Amino acid sequence: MNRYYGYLVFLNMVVNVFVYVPQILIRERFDGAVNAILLAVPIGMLIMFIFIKSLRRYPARSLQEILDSLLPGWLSRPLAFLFASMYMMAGCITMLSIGDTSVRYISPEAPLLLAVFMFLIVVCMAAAHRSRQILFLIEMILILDVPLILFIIVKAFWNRSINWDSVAVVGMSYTHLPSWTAISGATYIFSGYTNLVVFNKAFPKPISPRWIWLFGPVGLGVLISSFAVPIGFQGADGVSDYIYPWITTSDSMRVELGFIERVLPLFLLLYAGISMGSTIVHWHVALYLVKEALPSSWSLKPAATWTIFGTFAAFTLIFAFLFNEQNISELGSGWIRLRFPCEIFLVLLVLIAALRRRRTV
Amino acid sequence: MSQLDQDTIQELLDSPITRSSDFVRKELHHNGAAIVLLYLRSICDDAKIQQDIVLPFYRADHIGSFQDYLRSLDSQKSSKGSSLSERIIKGEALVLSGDEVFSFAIKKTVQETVGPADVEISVVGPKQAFSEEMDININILRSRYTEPSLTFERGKLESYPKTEYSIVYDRKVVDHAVLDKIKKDLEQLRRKLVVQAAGQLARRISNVKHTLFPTVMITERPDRVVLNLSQGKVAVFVHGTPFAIVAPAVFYDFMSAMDDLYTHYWTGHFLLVLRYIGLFLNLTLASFYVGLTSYNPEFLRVQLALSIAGSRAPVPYPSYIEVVFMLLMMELLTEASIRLPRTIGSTATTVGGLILGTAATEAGLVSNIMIIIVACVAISNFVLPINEMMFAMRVMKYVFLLITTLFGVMGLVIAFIGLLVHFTRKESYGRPYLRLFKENRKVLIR
Repeated sequence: MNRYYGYLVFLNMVVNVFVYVPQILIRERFDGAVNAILLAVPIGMLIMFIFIKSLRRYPARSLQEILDSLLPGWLSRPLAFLFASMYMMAGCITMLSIGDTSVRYISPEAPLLLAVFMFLIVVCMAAAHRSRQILFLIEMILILDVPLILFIIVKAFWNRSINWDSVAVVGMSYTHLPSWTAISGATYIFSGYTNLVVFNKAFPKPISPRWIWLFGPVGLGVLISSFAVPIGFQGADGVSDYIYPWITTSDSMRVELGFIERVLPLFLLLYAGISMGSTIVHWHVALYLVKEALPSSWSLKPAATWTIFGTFAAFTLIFAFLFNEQNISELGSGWIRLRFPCEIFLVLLVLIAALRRRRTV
Repeated sequence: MSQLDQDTIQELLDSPITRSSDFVRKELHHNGAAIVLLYLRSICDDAKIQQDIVLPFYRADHIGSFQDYLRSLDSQKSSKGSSLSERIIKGEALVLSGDEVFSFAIKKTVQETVGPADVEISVVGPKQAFSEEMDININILRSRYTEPSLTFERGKLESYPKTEYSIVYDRKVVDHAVLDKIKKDLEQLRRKLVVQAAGQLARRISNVKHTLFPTVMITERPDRVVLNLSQGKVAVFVHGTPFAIVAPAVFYDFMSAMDDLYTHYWTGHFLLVLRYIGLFLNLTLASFYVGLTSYNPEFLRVQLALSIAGSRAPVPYPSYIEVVFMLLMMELLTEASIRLPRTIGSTATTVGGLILGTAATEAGLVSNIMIIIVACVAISNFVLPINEMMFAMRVMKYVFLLITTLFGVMGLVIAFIGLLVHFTRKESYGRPYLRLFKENRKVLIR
């Protein structure tokens, strides 16, 4: 397996804390979230496997080329726009979420609009680059951030304030069937592979599915920690009082002997990097989906990239201007709910294309 | 040797070089034969001309044998295609005999000594640097890099006045795409400009005009050039400067000292880690100070936050002014001590560093902790082994400082990611500037 593919998936796993996955799972903690987590691993792994397998028939091709071989242009182009808007919203929500938390916990004087704008400058700069360069970038970000994030998570599990009884209480609700929303939220962890719709072009060799099973245990670990740690800290009932349960959790920890005593700033600053990385990836995908769906006479113009990013940024800034954190949270949950069917639809399309290609070849 | 015709003679006599007072035109007669000797006294070795040309001429029995003797010395090959006056400027002596012209490289070199490396100092590595004379540099490389595939290509820049350069590479391992690109870049340089230093040429040939971070390495160490040649890189020497340009060069190259290879594995890696810590401190420490004192003192432990606040108590202005003031003093001090004569240099550092630092704190202009931070920033900057990266990072920390002053600690994180974005986008002759694992470490035989 190409290690850069691993980074794409892993980045999506790590960023889950900031795209309302824990919130959704915690909201449904007595109604089947436990089963959703357990079910998400086989479901997520299965569709990832199908997607990778199908994509092996299209080495170094992008989604548009795959869709064009399957559907007429008047259908494939709007579809590409649909997927692009999903990616755009993914980045948008991550930005709003990190912007909102940074205003709330780090610089309360700054308006949300300004905070989001700061992030957008760097994100747009980066997302316009070539896919290869973005892969190098997220590798750097992950290598710098993940060890410290692991430190925080390990510290959380070892913490004296974590109440395992609360976790057990939630765990006892395993008899409930999971809801669509919970499964949709839990499978988000595994959906990093969908970035291949554009990044596939950056991999000269198709990705072999040999080491993919590794994501199963890793994903399960990530899901359990992002679900159980806030419950352990805040209690089975109290945890739903917070809009950002993970941030409150990190604020409940101290590094007694460290230079920075509170974990919260460390956590937020690290996640600022991770969120930017994730948004860069998503917007890069969205940019190229739109570009390839547009006629080449438009998309090859240098202004095209900036027009597209201008639109993305304008959407984000309008949301930042109009919405408060409640709305952003609802937007995020709504997007997560919509994401799962879109993802299945995408995988089905690629699968059908791959099957047809086998028949014709 | 070439046949003479009236036009070439006329061209030579018309050239402005004949009017210069160091131009020598001697007519020698012996046994009824005559030769004309043309050279520049200032750059040719008079004694050698006497020894190698004048004496044999008078000893020769007849002009034919003397001409045969001249043919054996002829250095026509080295200056094929250039006009007679150009050859004289290069330090060749011309002999006109009958209807033939012979030329000899009899240049006297002023700078034959090779000095110790004093920009990139190594503890246990080779001590000598390159020389300002290109032939000597080629000699140094030939004797260190004993492979028949080592190739030199000489050329002249289309600058004014024309400067000689030579491209060095190992034909077996060189990346031909890089080589062609460098050749093209060197040929494209057509400007009224005096090229006197490797850095100047490096700046002119790079395609990005206004860049902060270097994409070619400028080094004075023969061992570094040899190492880089063996990795398939290309080196360019400019006449008159003891520095070589090595391309392509990526971020890691600028963070590595040659000593890393010469010391033990763990020591070398320890030093490397130390350098990255130094880089990080140099870039962010001043910004952290502003961010943490003015925006988010609650990040620190209470004792530390209080002691910083206590030390800042007499300071009458916001933290960023304090930082900019002290950093500016530090930069002035550094600049002053670089270009001052050695004897005054130590006075400047004493006056600036010790007296000013103490006095500024006592006067309540800056806090004690600020002095520590500025010292740390300055020292950590000097940890970077390559001068150009050091200067780039010196500038970069002000960008970080500005962004942090405006946007707080979150701004610093964003700026840091922005720097990573810039690095990963940058390329040096097709090679990514920053990626996690260094490629091309080993010798590649293509």
